[in-house]
Amino acid sequence: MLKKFSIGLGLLFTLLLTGNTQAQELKIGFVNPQAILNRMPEMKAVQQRLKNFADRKSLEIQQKEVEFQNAVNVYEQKKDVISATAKEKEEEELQKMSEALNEATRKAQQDIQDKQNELLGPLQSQIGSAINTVADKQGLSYVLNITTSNGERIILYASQAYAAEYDITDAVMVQLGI
Amino acid sequence: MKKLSVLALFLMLFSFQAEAQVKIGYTNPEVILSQLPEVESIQQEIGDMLERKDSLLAIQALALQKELEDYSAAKDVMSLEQRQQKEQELIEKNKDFEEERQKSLNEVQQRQVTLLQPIEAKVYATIKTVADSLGLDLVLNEGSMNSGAFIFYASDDQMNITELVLEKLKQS
Repeated sequence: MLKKFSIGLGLLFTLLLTGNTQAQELKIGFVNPQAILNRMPEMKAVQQRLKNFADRKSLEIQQKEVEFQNAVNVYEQKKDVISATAKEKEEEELQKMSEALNEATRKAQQDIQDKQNELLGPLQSQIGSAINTVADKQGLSYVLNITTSNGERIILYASQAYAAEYDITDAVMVQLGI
Repeated sequence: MKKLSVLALFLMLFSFQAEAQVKIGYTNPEVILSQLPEVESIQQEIGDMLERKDSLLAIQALALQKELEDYSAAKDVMSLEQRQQKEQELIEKNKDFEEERQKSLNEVQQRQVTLLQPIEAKVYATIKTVADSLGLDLVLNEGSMNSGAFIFYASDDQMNITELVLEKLKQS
């Protein structure tokens, strides 16, 4: 009787262990980093700075556009009274200006993108390391993002019971102290 | 005693079985949507709307083009002041036209979103129903037109629930 009991117990232990290792094989958590980012206290200031930066860039471009438009107007007014060579030269000048304007517009967009990366980068890496900490603590094998940066859902559905345990969004916020 | 431990074993087995692996299914909402007859008729409606707006805009564009040509032909006999005034007017009209074009485009997009939203909601609700009936923990998106594949490979034993969702949608 006692022997049987111990065999039963032994089996139970093996099961417990295998059950445990099996459970540890694949634990998939998921997170909504955008929701966390939006909740970070630094975010308000960052968004304001980004808006100011973008406004400034857009003003610069607008000024260049006005300059270009003025140059076109000046040319329009005199083109009928200047020589063919002078006209050609003026047109070349305008062509160059137009190209420079396009280049400046492209560069402004790039600058805005860079600024965004510069300001959001540190916040994103804070979130990244908080995700790592929480995942380690909870013994997760994977942490998936719930959406793409375009807002498309990667996780279409999570059962309530599963989400309660494996949606680590709140835990990451707690980890970040927000 | 023996019975008890066997029972315990069974209980443990079951509970571990249930806990052991996360049950994952996958589908593709864009594929599901593309196969719904309602979506086809919405796309038809949006296409018609776009065509209607386009032909209205084309008339305006033609009129503007004509005005520009008339001005080009007449400007040599106009005074500088008249020319500047006319040019200003043309610039304004062109700006108005661009705004109109943008507005039309926005209206069409807005209409599309409004029409598709309830159907998308129905698709997601059905994904949930199917997932629940199969006891799935997670349903992943296979990918999207914009972003490409999220899942590059799924073995045959993995649960593609697309057909089940479509079937359920057809029933409702």
